[in-house]
Amino acid sequence: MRIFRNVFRRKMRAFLTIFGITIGVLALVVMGSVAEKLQLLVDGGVEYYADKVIVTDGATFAGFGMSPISASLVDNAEEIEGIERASAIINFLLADDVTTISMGTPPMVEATDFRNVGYQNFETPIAEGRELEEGDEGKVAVGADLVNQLEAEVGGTVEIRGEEFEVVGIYARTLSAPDSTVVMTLEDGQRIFLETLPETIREQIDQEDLATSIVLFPEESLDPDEMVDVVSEELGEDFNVQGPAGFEKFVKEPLAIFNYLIYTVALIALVVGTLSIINTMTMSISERTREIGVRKAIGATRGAIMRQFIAEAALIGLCGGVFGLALGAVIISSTNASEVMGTTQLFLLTPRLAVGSVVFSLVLGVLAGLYPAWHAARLSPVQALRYE
Amino acid sequence: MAPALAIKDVIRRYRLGSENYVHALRGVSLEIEDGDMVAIMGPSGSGKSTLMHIAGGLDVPDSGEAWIEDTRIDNLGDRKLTRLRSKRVGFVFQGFNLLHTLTAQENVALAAEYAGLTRRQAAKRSQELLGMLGLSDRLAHRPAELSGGEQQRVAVARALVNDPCMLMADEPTGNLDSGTSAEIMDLLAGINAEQGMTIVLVTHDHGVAGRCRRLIEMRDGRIATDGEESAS
Repeated sequence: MRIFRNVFRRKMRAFLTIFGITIGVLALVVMGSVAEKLQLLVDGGVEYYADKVIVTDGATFAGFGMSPISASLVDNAEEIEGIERASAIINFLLADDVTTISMGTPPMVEATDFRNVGYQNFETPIAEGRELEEGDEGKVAVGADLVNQLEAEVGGTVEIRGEEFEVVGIYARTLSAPDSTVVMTLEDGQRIFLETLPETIREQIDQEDLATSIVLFPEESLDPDEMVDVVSEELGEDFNVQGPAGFEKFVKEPLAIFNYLIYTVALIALVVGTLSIINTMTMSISERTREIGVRKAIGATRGAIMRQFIAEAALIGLCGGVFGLALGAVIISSTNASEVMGTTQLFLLTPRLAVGSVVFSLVLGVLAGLYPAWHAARLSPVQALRYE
Repeated sequence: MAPALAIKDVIRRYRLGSENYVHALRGVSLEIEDGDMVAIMGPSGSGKSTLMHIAGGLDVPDSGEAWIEDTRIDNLGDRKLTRLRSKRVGFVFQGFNLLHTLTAQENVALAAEYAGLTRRQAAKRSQELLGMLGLSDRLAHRPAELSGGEQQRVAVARALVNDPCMLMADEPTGNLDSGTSAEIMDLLAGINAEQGMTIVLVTHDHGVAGRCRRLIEMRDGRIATDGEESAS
C-alpha cells in the first residue's frame, strides 16, 4: 500500500509511464497471440504429417498438392514394400475466387476415398451429426470455423462451388487446419475439381482417375522419412515425395522468421516503455532526495532504499503488464468474434503468453529500477538532507 | 564510564572545486556526559551542523576520532554506521522531515521497521509512543493534516522509537512559533529529566539554548566558548 502511495503521488506521470508499458505489453500480447495461433496450426500440421508420406505432382511443392495426379498410383504405391496403405485425396480451395488474404490456412475442400480411415493418427472428432462415410455422395462434413460462413447445420444444405450438399456432420474445433476444411467424397471432389482445370488439361484427364495427392501409410515399425527415398525410386522422378521432415522444414523456418519479426516489434515497444520507467524513477528519486536522506538518517540501509525503489519500478511494470494484457484480451476477443477477419480465428491468447507477458513486464520494471535505485542508495545522507 | 559522546581533534572539510576546500571543522574536541542536555550555537557556516552530523554518525570526519559511549564511529563502514543511527541515535530535524505519504503512526513505525521490528511490533510500539506524546487521536493523520507542533512531536516520537542512547536535534524549534517552541522544549527537557536521555541540539534561539545545561558556541569551525549556560 505504501508503494502504491509513492508511485501515485504524481498521478499523471505514473499514469503515462504505466501507459507506455501497457502499449508494449499490448503489442506483445496481440502479436504473440498471432504467433501462438500459427504455432498451433503448425503443430497440427506436424501431427497430421507425422505418420505419412505424401506423393504429389512433381511440379508442386512440399505436400500441398493442388495439381492433378493419377489416383491409380494408389495401387502402385501399395505394392511398395513397407507401405501398408495408400489413399487418394483431392484438395482445392473452398472459394473459387481468392479475394481475401488470410493468416494461417485458407478454407479448403478435402475429398477422400476413405482408404485412410483407421490408418492415420490424426483424426478430427465430430461435434454434431456423424462422420462422412463411403458412399456419401452429395454430402459433406464441415469444419468448425466454416459453420457461420456456410450457414451449415446438420441435416441442412450448404453450397460449395455452385453445388448443393447435405451436411451430415460438423467437426469439433481443433484450432488447426481441419477447422477450415470441408470434407466430401472423392467422387464429388473429382467432379468439382475437374471443372476448375483449364480446358486443354481437362480433355486429357479421366475424371475417375483424378487426385491431387496420394497419402501413403508406411508400416508402423518404419520411419516415414526413411520411406521417402524408397517411394521416390519406385514411383519415378515425376513425383514429389514428402515425409514429415519435409513438412516441418517447409513450415517451421518461415514460422521462426515470422515469430522473430513480430516479437522484435513487440520488444522494441517494451524497450521504449522500460526507458520511460527509468526516466520516471530517476526523476522521482531526484525529487525525493531529501526523503532518501531522512530515511537513511533514521536507519534505512542501502538495501532497504534499493528494495523500496525497485519495488516502485516493479509496480509500474506490473500495472503496465496487467493493463496491457487486459486491453489485449479485449481486442483479441472482439476481433476473433467479429466477421471482419473472415472465418479463421486469427488470435490465440494462450495462458503461457498471458502469464509470460505480465511476468516479463514485472521483470522489466525491476531491471528499469536497478540503476535509479542503486543511485538513490548511494546518496550521502548529509548531502541528501541538505537538498532543497 | 565512557562519556556519551567524545569528539577528538576532528577535522572535516568539503571539496568545492578541484582545488577549493571549505573547512567546516578545523580541529574540534568535545566530550558530552551521559544524561546531559547540550545546546550548540553559532552563526551559519560555523560548523555546528557538521559537528552534530559527525557525532550522530551521519557523516565521517577527514581526521580525528568520534566515539559514542565505547564505540568508535569515525571509521565504521556504511552498514555499521546505518545500524548505529538506527539503534543508538535519534534525529529530530528543523523541517520535521516527516514522509508526507505516510501517516503519523507509519512515520514513527518506519524507523522501528528499519531497526528490524516486524510491521506489527512497529505499529504497536509507535502507537504507544504517540499516545505518550498526546497524539493518540492523530495516528492516521498525514503530516499535512497536523500542526507544526504536532508534526515535531511525531518527529520526536520517531527519534525515540528505537530507545536510542542519544537524541540529536537540528534546530528543532526553527519552524515553530514561540508558544509551540516552548512546548517542544518542555517535551525534550522532560525526556532528558525523566529518562536521563542525552540530548544535543543545534539552535539559533537563545531561549531554547537557555533550557539546556551546557552551551557550546562555535565560530569558524572551532569551539569558541563552552560552559554552563547561565540563565539568560
